[in-house]
Amino acid sequence: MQLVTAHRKPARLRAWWIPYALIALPAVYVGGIQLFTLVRGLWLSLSDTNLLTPWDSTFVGLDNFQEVLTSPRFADALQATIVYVIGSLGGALALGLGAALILNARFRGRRLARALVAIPWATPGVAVALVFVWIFNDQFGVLNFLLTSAGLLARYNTWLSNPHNAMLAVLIPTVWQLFPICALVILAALQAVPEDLVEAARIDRADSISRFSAVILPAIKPTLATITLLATIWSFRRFELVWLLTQGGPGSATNTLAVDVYRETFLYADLGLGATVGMIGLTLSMCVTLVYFWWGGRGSTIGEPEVAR
Amino acid sequence: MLDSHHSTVKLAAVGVAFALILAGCGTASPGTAAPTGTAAPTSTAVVPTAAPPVTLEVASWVWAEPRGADVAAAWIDPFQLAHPNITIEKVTIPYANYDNTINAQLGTNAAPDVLQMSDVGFAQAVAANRLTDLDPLIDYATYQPKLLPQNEFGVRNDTRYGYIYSLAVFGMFYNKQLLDGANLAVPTTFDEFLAAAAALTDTTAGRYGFAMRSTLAESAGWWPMFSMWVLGNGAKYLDGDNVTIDTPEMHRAVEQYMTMYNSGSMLTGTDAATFRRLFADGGVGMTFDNGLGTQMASFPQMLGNAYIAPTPFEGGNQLALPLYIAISEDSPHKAEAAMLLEYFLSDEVQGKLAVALRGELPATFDFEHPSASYQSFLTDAYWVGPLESQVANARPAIEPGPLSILAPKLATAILTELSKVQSGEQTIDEMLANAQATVEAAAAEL
Repeated sequence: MQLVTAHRKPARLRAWWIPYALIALPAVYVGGIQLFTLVRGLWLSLSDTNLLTPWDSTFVGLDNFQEVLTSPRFADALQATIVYVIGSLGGALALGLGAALILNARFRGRRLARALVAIPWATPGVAVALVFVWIFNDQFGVLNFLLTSAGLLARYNTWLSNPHNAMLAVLIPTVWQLFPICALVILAALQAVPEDLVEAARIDRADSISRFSAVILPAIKPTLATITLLATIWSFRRFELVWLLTQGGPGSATNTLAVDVYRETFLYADLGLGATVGMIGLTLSMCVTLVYFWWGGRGSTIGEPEVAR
Repeated sequence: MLDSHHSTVKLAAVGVAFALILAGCGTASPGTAAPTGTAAPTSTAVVPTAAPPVTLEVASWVWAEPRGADVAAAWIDPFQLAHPNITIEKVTIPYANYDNTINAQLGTNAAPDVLQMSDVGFAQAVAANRLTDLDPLIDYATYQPKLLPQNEFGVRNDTRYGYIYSLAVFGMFYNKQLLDGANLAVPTTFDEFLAAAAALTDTTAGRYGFAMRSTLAESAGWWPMFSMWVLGNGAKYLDGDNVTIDTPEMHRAVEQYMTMYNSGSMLTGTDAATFRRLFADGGVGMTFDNGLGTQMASFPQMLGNAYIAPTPFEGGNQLALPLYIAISEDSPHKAEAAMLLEYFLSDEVQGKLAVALRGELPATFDFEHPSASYQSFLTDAYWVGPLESQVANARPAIEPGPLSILAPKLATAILTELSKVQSGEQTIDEMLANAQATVEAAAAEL
């Protein structure tokens, strides 16, 4: 009796195409949609196109970019955007890190606290904006009431209608809504920090600040970098909160690039200029992303925690 | 252990299925298709008796309002009964997003057949040739004797693109009980207005003499309310080919507005929903607004106490916003849409709409011979009488002209600069100079 051995291909030949097949379809879907809209947006930014007649475009080269970049309104929008991004990022990360450290500790009700912290993130932006419009109301808002009652303000302040306070008034709900996702992501990273390293530092009589800076922070740095990148891009794109709270006002105090894109495209019906502002915003986001990958590539592999030396 | 051949076949089958699903879900890229509108008929279209079923989409923000049901009962429902082959689909779009949504739909050839339009949206659609010439479809001469004169604003470049859907007349609402309680007459001059607002203000009781929109967050509504000051002082934003923002009349208008704004008698930074509620409950003595009849439906406590008067400015005009009804250029059912519009303009419907619109005036309105139902309505709607007297003197914020397409940019420029004056960042002179320069630059690009 002879044993018949079935001919089998080598494992590497049998399996090599499977990963490509699995990513091909989502790649086609994402590439088809995203790439098409990117190319279309680029074309629109180089054309004079009316929202009501988008098929009737006239190529104008870089005229739109020249008009936007030399406009005083764009300079205000860029400044407002940078302030908004830095403010929301800083506030969300600081608050998120603090919340994550607290939620990582052991205390009764920790599970409930972890669930509750997600509420701001889960609340629709429109609802958040409408409630904060009321909170910031000049005459009847609860914020003025609380601050004057606590003696922190001598009299009621103007918030959304005051160019000096409007950006702060817009940042508060933004940070309130953004910090939970930062907290939860950082919390996940904190829970992956090896407990024995922390214990070793404790045995070496390192105080909490030293334990955090020498052991915990290096371990969660890649996660912090990733959430910083994501939060930056989200802040660049944030529209509904700013629009519903101030529509970019008073004056140009809160007129971010996202608000400008909407105004040019839908109020002025100028698809070309709207796409131009959008392309500029996209370029800024890409610059941030490139900085992130460049910084992440220096001395460490992205995703791998640094080892404390 | 899986058979390798069967695994390959299964994976390939899954891949093919996904590809088929994606192909089926794929749609044409928005905005790349050429317009598919049919040519307008050269004569009034006649629908054959055995007409095929047709669905007409009719867009309006009124459908979302309390009076929407009454408007539909006056116009849409009886039309459907009389034309069983035509089904009307009411497309509801909130006012705040109306122009943006309709513009985007016009741009993708997906706009409803019949459109209610704001004056700004109408101008934009006309400039982009997205509306149908109505004269070949509707005999103007039939309706002309009774049409409100403001219907001529529907004619652009000698072509009639729309009729008046309704005329929103703005005025000064006042709380009669508060005025009587303070022994105040209805103000007819700015000084009387300022004094009355001061007399009615009691901030300890949470009451203000005057309120209106005053923030960019409500710029769509702030624009007409601020324009009441402009028109009342005899100023104009545009005059033919000229930008006329930086003028003495405009300076006076802004100065009066800022005097009231800084007086302590005006409720500032509050949205319309709030101050309308306060007005209904006696927390505000006077407002600049429109739609009192609609507000009374929401706040019945206003009945018998809220009245309308012309704005207290001397020598100028009142504000009336024309709202248009038009047919989309892409509509495949222009004949049926024209039938609906002709029915809209009929005496029967116009008489009912005068009641259903609760104070906004419809396209045709015979002041001397109002319909019986309107007579009955006037008995209860005591507030409507003053509106009728204002119509002759009522103008839109920006009248049709070569520069009227600049309305959105002009409004943004004016309100942005005005908000800087409100916050003390600049003077009125700087505001007007900046706004004039901005709009002139936009005009130069046309």
